[in-house]
Amino acid sequence: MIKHLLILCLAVPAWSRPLNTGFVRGRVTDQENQPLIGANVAVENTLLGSSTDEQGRYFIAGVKPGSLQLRVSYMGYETRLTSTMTLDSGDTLNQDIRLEAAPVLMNPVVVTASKHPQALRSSHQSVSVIPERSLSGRQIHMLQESLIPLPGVHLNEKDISIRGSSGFSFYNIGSRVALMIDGIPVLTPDFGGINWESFPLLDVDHIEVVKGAGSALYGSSAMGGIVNIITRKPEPGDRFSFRAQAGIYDRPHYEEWKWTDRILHYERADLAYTRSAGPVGIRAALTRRVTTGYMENGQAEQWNASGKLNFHKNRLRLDCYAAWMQNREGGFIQWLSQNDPFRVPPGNREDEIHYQTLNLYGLAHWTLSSKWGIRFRISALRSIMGNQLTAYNPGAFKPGLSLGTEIQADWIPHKNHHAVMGAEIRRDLTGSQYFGNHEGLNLAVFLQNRWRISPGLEATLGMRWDTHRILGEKEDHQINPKSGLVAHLGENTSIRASIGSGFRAATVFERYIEADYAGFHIIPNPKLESETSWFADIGFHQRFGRRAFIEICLFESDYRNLIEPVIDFLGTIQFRNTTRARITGCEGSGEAWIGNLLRVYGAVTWILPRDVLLDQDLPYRPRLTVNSGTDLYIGPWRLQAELRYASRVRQVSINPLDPRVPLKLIAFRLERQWRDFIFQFSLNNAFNYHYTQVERRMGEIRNAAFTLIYSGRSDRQPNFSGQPRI
Amino acid sequence: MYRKQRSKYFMCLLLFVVVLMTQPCSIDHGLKPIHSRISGHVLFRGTAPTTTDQVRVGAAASFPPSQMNEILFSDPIDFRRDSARYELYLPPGDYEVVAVIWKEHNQPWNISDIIGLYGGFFLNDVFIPSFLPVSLEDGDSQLDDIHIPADFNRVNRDAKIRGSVTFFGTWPKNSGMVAVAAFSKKPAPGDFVDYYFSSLYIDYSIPPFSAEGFYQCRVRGNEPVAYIAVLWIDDGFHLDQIRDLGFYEDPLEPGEPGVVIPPANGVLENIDIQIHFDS
Repeated sequence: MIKHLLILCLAVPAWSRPLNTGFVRGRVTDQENQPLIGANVAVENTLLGSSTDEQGRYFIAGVKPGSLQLRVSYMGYETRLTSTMTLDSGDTLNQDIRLEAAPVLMNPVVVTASKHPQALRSSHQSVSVIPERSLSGRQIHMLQESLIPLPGVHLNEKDISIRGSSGFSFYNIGSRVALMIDGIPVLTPDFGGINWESFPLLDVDHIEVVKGAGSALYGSSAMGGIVNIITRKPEPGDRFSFRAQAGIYDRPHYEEWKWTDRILHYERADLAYTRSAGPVGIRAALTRRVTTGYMENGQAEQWNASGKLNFHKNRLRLDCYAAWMQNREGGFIQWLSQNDPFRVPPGNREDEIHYQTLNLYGLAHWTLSSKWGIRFRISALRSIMGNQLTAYNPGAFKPGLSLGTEIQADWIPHKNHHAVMGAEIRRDLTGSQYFGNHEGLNLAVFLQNRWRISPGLEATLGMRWDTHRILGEKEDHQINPKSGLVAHLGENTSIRASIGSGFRAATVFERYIEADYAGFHIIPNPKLESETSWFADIGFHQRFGRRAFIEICLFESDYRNLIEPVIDFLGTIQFRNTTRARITGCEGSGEAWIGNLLRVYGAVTWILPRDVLLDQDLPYRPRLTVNSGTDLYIGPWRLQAELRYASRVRQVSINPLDPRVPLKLIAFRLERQWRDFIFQFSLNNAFNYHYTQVERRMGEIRNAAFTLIYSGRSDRQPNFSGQPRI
Repeated sequence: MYRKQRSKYFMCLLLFVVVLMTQPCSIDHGLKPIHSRISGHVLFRGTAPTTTDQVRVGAAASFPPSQMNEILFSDPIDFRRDSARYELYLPPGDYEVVAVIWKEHNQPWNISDIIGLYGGFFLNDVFIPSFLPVSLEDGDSQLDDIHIPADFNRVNRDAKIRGSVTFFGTWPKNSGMVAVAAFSKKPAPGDFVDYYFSSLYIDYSIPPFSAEGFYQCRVRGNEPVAYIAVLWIDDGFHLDQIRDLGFYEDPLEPGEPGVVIPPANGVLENIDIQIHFDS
């Protein structure tokens, strides 16, 4: 039976191909005629496309005769739209394409804002892209550090806030930013939190960050924005790569704060292997991370393993991905005192947190014709938090399980329209002695159309209907519309505007938690309602040739029923729908090359995060953040200096009398490339600046790290690290 | 040749950065240790209840603090001795009240459990709650003789008063907390010293927006309780916004506070209170 089904699955794509079609083939190379492996080639205004093999060759079948254009994209190179060509029925069109390396990110293809591939400058929503080379170039230790340079994005320790959407909550509870892997939500089913450590670092191809509510396509939790991690595909041929990093922490600046004679350090090693043969490709990755931390009880041990299987034949593409993570780390809630800030109170010295997650998904893309495509996915997320808030007790939490399936259809009814429609079902199972056993069910349907009104004007209109229910409680229905407009005022200038709504359903943890932890008594609130938001933004993008760009965006978000932990004067915490908030702000970013030696980049964000009811700032939101840096390239060397600044937060929730300072961090990085190897050295928090982002939790002190990267095949890559050279 | 020259420039730049970083100049290092502090001895009278979890010294810039988290606490002090030394590191500033606060096992901090005050004194074995401010002028100020008398008898409670509270009408939307408090004398309206030091016990167990709730106040037996009141605090938990919603009325003289005397080691039941929001 299974054999017959397989034959049917493989045969149907071939049947579906009309006979009166032609073929397009060719080779994609860089300016030195070297093949670009894995470049995307798409027939414009259709769903047909291919990616290049080890020799840079591509082949697209089933192309409708007539005039056509190809859109070719590759991260680190300028996306190119070919001139119009003509294809006759049954013919094969040969078209070799040469791409120019782009020193700044040039209009890459993104998939998150509209749930289908589109050029970045056609996106109606503000999207930032972090290419893999930026991850390795900044010598990050943890994945979330890669998000720091983005405009509008602020990290409060591990909590991400996009345009002021979030403040701080322990364990990232109730994130207002949806984390996705290849478009599949991976927030933990019980805490609704982000676990940044869930994936090996070498799995990341690039990261797309959508700013503003994304609930019109992605539902709950995407009310502040979306972080979508796009994993690497198995590559043609075979390739082994690794990255090893070892770092050492300095002592605190003040001798009286020194708390140990031990050498405090951190290490991580990442390995990856990829191989493709014919239509099948595999990829595997392994990570080991160990740290003593820079404060008492800051130790962590982590393992990651992942595997990806890819099958691509004719118009059918199957992707299966599995990522497993085990992490064991010490718990540091609050310091002992400001005169002993690197120690925990004696009662918390044994606190440990154990995490285990398993992410699985299967994705099938089936291009039925140049106008119709279907995408089907099934996914499962199993996550368990093994700490018990009070003392080690492995049985306190049951694994949280989230099972999801989604079907999506892409339809191009006319060359000026691209419609996306689909349905999603998700079932969440959670259990803990702290919040009981609960089962949640989420159903949703969505629809979006992108309409090219004229060659320089595009409009997007979409909507999603969600029904969310925790069994035993009343259903919650949400309708979230969005619309957007993009105007291209020339090849280098564009303006876009968008408006939409978002929501976040209260998590099981927020509704039902009852526990005592670190002196706080947490009580349940089953009557919590969903948070909702409206946002509007308008953005301007200007490119100056291939060497510079600036982007400016104004935005406003209005939040209702914000769920915040409310601490009364007895130290009792309850999650409540307390606040109505309005966040107004602007962000600007830019990048420029001066000659071939110097690159400067920066991002500035200013927000006014007002709690409308209390007439004060929302807690843990700095009004001004600045991230800027410069790269100096000399021969094989690259020297980078980077500044991170965040103004002093005006409101905090727990200890408002504690002294607070702005965030002022400076890092220096040095890099040298030699054959397939890259040697890196970084000095982070170079001036040993002491700060807290959250009361009584000291930020990372000065540390230095050495990183070695073996890329396996750098001769065919534009540049593994840093920016591609002109 | 050109390449060599560039490398030379690069090494010079690197040297410049290293020299810059090793120079002793005024660099902002952010947070720093606190050196300003008050210290002294807590002079206990009476015996610590067996249920004692912690005793700490706390200081607040104003009294009452608008919220409990505006009190800065010392480390726990040794309450098993007649006199215990304490140190409390505080940012420079004026502190209106320095108090000793007692905490019971498995119970949250309760502002009615203040057992000592800097400036308070004993008169005929009765603790008189008055307080003196302290002032730390700069980051190096240290006041070493801030001795505080404390009376464990305030929290040695052997008797209980129990009853119900029934609410009629519509709760104010900004209700944050209700409490039932037992007082040795009726506090003067708006006098927060009376509210927080004349209270024998405050029970916070009734959730707001309830139709009915039950309370239990633990007090000293054979001593009169002159006023049992239901208190209301807004949803910002501002202690300086505390209000009376109503009180236990004398069954013989409705409209007047009822005085009760619970038996030693006993329980006084059915001390019920009705609250009419509309009135």
